[in-house]
Amino acid sequence: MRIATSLETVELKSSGPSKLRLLSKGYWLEFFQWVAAAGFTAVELPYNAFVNDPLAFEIGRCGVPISLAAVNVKYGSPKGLRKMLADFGIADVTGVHVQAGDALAEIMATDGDTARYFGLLESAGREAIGFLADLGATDLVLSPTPARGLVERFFAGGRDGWEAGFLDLTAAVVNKLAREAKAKGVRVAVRDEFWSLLRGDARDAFLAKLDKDVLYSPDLSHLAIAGADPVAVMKKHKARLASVRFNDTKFTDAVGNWRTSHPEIPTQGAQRVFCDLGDGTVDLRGSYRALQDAKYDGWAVFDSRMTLDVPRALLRMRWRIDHSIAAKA
Amino acid sequence: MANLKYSYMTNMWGLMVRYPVANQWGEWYEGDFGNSVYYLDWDRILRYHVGAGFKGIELMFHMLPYVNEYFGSPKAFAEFAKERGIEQVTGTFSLALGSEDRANHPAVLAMNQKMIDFTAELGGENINIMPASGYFGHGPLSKEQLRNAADCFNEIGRRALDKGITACIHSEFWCAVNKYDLERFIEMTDPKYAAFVLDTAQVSIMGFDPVAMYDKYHERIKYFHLKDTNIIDAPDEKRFAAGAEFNDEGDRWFWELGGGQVDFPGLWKLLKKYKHKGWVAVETDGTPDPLATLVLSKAYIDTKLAPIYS
Repeated sequence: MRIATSLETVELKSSGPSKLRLLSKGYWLEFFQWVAAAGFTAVELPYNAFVNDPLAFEIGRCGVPISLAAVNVKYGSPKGLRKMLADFGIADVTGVHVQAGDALAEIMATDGDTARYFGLLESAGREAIGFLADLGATDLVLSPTPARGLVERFFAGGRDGWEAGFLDLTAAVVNKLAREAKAKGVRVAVRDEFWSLLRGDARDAFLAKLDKDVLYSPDLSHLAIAGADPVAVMKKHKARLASVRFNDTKFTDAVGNWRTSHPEIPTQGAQRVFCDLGDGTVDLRGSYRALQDAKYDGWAVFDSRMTLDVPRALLRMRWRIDHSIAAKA
Repeated sequence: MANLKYSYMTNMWGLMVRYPVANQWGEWYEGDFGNSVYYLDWDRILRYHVGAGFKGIELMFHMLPYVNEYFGSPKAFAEFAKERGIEQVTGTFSLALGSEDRANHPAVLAMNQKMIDFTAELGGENINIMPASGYFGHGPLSKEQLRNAADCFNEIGRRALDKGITACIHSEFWCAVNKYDLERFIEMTDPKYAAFVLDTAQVSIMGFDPVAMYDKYHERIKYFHLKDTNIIDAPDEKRFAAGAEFNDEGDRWFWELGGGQVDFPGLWKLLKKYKHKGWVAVETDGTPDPLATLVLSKAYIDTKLAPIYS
């Protein structure tokens, strides 16, 4: 098993002291120093191919390495980025994380034509595959549906059973991308967030619709919030795992937030959905051991999503990995 | 009654203030013991403005989907702000990216129509608009491209006026409409539909003297974005670089009032001379500490500028 961290530890969109500096290349040059100083030699990147959604426009134009265009402008090329990371001591890029919600955000920001959704999702995935091939990285992690509340708003049309049709079309896009990816040495893995249409039993049914070489990328805190046992889920799918995301939560979704259109920013009740790795209740050590027992040899990608203090979170993640999660008994 | 009322552009807090209201302090403070908890919600951030004496705020274009999602409607957001002491959401900021190409006009107009409607529903008076694409990858503009952008702006301004809103040209130092053609662009637009917002730092960075500019264009300048800077007449290669607004070294372009070299007392003497009345806005995006900058700016206004004209 190989250990990495994700740039998604840095929350780009929300408010805080010095928040706009996160949009500059200067911030990321320093961030990569923190990553290496915390002992991480591999990173996973977020990826957003779109530019018309207002937040995507702001994030993609000044230095966040979040798309091919952003990387070309500020780092020269994917290879240039890779060389720079290596110079910082970060030898590997595990892959990128693409979110279907970004395709819907693009539509909402432009003409509102949801008929374009699956085409946009496919083109975003295709761009990410090309980026990965240029970068020399292998894993395209795809969150294949937007938040359930948003999908319902735009695609349900008042019909019962709309989910099945939506997921069939989604599976077709994923399979198409996976076949294209394979030809470029890239593999596709899907993720089931607690707010996704893949929540609960839908995950297994969806995986059954996919080609056998489409993999599964569990996110431990999302599984825990959805009420699943991450260890049991990983054991069940041990032959299909890739880019396993280790993170933490102590959030209880007491108000059915998973059904809303903004599940990661609750307005009612408890609001801190994620916490720094090790501060929550996810069985991180048990999950790690389950992967060891399964002789998993892929990436374990650690993050502390929505942390309020990025360098502190990176250092504490390293301590917890070494002294608890991956420590020998 | 004061001639000037002060608003503040809220872009310095981050791309998106996360919550309308952060329900439980302890969720964010216990275990972290940091100050980030003070920056997470509109409830607190609006009260900082009121506490510092700013009774107006402005919203960025990316707040449109946020407001609809989290508050239900622009009107509900304005009411939420009013309950916390904000008298008025005075205006918004928008973009006309691609307006230099006529083929883009339908999309640019559609996007700005949404912003006009949004601004009207908020109860705003102004919409400040970056008038064309960024310089990097697009500039310099030909005379025809400049004409296209001007025509597009005139149409946006006409539509805005239909809703009682003043559309103002906002001159980013990194915009394709830049140092060498900004004045020509102002002249190419129709004064009936296109006002100018004097952004004191942006024009200083381009090499204009904001005081002289106000003297020359006071009839077109209906609004102000007040911010300070220490970078006067930046070289072309800095302004025209990719992502110039957040430069690679992390240098700060914009400062709180009094933190840079802009001659605000000189500007205030002209405000008095021309009897300017109404809302003026402070905008200090890029500050590392929005709360400190907010308070320092107001202290500067109260002690250095208000004695000249208020």
